[in-house]
Amino acid sequence: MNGISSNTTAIWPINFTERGVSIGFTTPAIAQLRARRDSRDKLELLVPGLSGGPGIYILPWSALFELFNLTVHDRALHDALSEIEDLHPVATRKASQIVAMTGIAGPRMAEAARGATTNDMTERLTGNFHLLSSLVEKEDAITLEEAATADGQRTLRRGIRKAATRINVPENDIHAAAEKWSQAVSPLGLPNMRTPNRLRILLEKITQFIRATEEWGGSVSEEKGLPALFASSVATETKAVVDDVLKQLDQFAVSPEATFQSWKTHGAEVKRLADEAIRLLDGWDHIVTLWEDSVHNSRMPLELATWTIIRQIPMAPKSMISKTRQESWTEIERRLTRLVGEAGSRVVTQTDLDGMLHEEGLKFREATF
Amino acid sequence: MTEAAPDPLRHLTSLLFNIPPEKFSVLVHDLESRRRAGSPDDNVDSILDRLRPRLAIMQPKRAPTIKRLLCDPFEDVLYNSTRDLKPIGRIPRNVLGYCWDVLREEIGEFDLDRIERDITEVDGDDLIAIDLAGAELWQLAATCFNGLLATARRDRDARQSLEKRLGGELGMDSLRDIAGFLDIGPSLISLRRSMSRPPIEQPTSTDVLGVAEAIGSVNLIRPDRLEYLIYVVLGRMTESTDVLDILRRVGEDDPELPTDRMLSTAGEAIASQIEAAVAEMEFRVDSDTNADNLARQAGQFVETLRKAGEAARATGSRQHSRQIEQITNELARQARNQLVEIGDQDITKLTRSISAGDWGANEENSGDEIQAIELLQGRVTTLKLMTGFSDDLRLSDDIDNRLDQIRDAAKSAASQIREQISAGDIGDEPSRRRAYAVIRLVELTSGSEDADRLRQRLVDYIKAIEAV
Repeated sequence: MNGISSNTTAIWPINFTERGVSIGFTTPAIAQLRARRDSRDKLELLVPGLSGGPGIYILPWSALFELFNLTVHDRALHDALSEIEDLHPVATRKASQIVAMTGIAGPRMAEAARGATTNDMTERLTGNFHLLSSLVEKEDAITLEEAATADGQRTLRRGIRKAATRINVPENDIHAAAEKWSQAVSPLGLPNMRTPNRLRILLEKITQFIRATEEWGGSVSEEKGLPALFASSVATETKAVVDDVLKQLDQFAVSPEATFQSWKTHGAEVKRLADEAIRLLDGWDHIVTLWEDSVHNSRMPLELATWTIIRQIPMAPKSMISKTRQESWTEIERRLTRLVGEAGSRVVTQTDLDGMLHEEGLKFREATF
Repeated sequence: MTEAAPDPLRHLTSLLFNIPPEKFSVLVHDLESRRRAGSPDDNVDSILDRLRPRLAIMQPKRAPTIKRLLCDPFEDVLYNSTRDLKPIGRIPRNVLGYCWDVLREEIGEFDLDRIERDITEVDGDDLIAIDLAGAELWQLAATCFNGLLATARRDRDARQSLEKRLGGELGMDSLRDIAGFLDIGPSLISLRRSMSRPPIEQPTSTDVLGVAEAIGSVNLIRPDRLEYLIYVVLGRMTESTDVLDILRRVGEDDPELPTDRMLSTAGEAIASQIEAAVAEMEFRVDSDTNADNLARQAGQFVETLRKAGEAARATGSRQHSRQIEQITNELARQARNQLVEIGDQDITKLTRSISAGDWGANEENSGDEIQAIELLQGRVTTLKLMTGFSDDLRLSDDIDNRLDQIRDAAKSAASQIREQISAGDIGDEPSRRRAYAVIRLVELTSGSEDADRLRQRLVDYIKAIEAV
């Protein structure tokens, strides 16, 4: 706009690369917008409905300085993102945590980032333990707490040794596969784990979000409820796509012995499916947090929150949509095309300190749910 | 038991929307029945409290009860009182029980039981039947309360006895208002049905039309009760001064209406309601985040007072203008005590320590120093949130002085960080954390450009030593 950018990108992206990754910026105008790399490998930001325009505009990073007064946190985050090879939700989350842990966005964000880092590590370790435990016989079974002791470790190793003979997979290969498997599914965890991992909790929250936005959207005037009902339908369709992917992914955990035996052929598929689920859910944590925050804390009126959500709502890329769901997503694309410009003009982002504090507060909640 | 018991309801908030809508309605209905039956289980109220966000969104159909029916006309003005304060135009919930008991004792159970049977037998959607029952109940109650109040005005003993039955002066004042609301019960119900659901953020033309019609009809039947209608409109607004705009628009369309009187009534009620809210502020600060919230709330009060003041000037009511000025002064006093002067020790402590030159010299102190800077960060955000309205409270100089002082301290701290970088003296984790805390403080006081220059310097330095 005004010579800054007339380039737009598709409302409905073909693949995850085109869609970009949602970034936890704290400058209110660009909070949680998606970033991707341009042809020269530079970071560019996708801004839906810029100045009320009817598309998703592409802004090079340098243009952001002209347009917005970026927080120091965002400048630091940009530097950190520039050093990431693969712009992936897991990698950008890690980068955000490292930046926030410095304290550059205040003690609360630092504390939340430390908590989230520990949580991420625990999720990976718990997944690993869960997979290994699924192979051992009853007499060698130990609890997670016991796994932290030398005795527990010995018992577990003995159990794995026996399992290696039983399923005819070298012990080292079992450990290596468990490591890769648990790493791949880390934020999702495995289907029958005692405590669900972060993204499965998020899926539960998306279910609540669907109900809540539908209830609220249906209880107010048609005009007021429009973005909420739309967000509800995108969430419903996205969840259906994620559920399909998870169903396939979780299948590998039904008979872990067979998966360990065929890891060389199936490992890549586990990784691909987990990656798809993680990317599909990228950005939804902030959306449900924004909604919940508005419902419980009334910092932002629900109507404004729903228009903000429209600006941030991720479309599942075309590559992920099966033929049977094609029609619903085409309809979603049609509706979003109509709404995006309006969202851009309705969401008058706060440029002041209070806006930044609000974003930081949301990120604090998001990291600690 | 020495440890606090775990909160058994903590998961309820996160599961709030997991309950299917129909079951949610059943749950609410069941909890309310238990509360009505006087369940000894203390959790009933806490559970209902946790359900409130969804109740507000979903507004499930509540079971018609005679007590709820009695309060229907003035439901919008009910509030939970923590102190013995009764702002004009509002009714504290805790007096309703007394009023109900008085009504039952006065008119006997026969009529009330009959009305209760009528409403429990009708379908909840049969508004006509419920309205008929309501009209009868409101008239019965209004006549009863007005009669008691008239006697109390004439007879001192009767007044004292009634006041005792109502739990004190608050109950007495409330009963007077309840009688006023009930006198125009049916008009208030039509008004509430014609307006958008509360809280109304921005009144629509339909809302204005609904108010105009209700005012027109009450002005014909009971012009002396017009104020109660205004209180209900007020109770439905997010920004109370929107009522003034609505009344002006209604008055412009119908010059026969007593617009000045209506504006003055609304103005008084608005002022009185902010006054009560300002008085409540005293008990609110207990952490930095709350200080920020309190500053935001003070800003909203100032905005409301500003508009109420304009309205008072427009109507030429000197008394009302004076009242607004007094509330503004009280708000200024609270804001000064609770938000401006409260962090002075932190400011002085760090400023002194930095200017003494020993800041950052001793690694053992780094934890305390970081904490002190973080406290200052909190002070800055609170003070800055107040700058938008500090003029109205005559606090600009006080706030600016403190912000200048913190800005200077931040600058000194930043220059010491630069010196430490030049001297290669900032390698370990605590000194880096302290540096980042200072960068944040510089950002809050002098803006992100200045802060980012310092960050760049720090990052270049860290990269250089890590490359070695």
